[in-house]
Amino acid sequence: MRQQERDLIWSERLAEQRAYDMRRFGLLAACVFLALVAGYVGSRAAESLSTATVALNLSLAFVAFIAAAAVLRTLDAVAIRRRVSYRTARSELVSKEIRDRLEALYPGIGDRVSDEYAASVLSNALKKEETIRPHRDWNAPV
Amino acid sequence: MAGRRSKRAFSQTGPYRPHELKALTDALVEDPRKIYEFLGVVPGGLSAPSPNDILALSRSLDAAREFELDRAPSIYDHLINGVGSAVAVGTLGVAFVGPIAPVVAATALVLGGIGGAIAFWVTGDTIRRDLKTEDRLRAIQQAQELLLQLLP
Repeated sequence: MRQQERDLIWSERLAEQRAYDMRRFGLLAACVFLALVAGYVGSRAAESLSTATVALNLSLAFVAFIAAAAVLRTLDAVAIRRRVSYRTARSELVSKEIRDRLEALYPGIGDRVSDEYAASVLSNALKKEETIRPHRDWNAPV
Repeated sequence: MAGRRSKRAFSQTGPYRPHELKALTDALVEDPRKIYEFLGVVPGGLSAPSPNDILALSRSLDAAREFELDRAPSIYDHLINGVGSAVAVGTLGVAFVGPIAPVVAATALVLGGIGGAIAFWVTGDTIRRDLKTEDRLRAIQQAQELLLQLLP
């Protein structure tokens, strides 16, 4: 896939996510608006209530709103993590299958290929690729 | 925050160098078929890749995946963002105390506006990081599936 296409897809997904977040933000803003107006009007309607009681009502509405927003946001985060977990699980399954099939074909290969060996293979492969793509910025922040 | 994540990630990558894991994933995000270049084989060609190299690259991809997961936004990050946004909107809502306390209302408007802008920017950044992480994990997964297809 070309970089331009990837950028386009990525920006569309970002815009989707941003629109979703804006809708949620608007919903929360509407909630707090209604809660505060209801608290204020209700308190004022009962003329026996003092200013301190009105302030207390508003404070309670404020705290309840923050708690509700935190719960909603956590549910969002759980949904996002589920997507990431799906990718991770798929990747782990494929990795296990590679290991199992190689072990069946070449018994003991898992012991021969250590992490140190794998790291050196990766280094060499990247050095080879570097000769093809010399413009890669190795000092970019990790 | 980012610095703390990087340090923790570095300590968990073992013999792998973080910048190499990042370079591997960067290349695969451009095109997962680049895994063939790393193996030094041409798809459908006569040269067979060494099984040791296949397993080594698969392990490197595992390490790259762990590295990406370590850098991904956590539930804690999302929760902090959520509470931050809620406080910002709530502070704006405090402006409704205007009839009772005008000074408090004006202060709330200013603080809520600034807090809302910061919360909006931070939330956007977290979303962007999340999308990137998913994209990079997908590239790693596709590369491993290509490696699997190379096996007899």
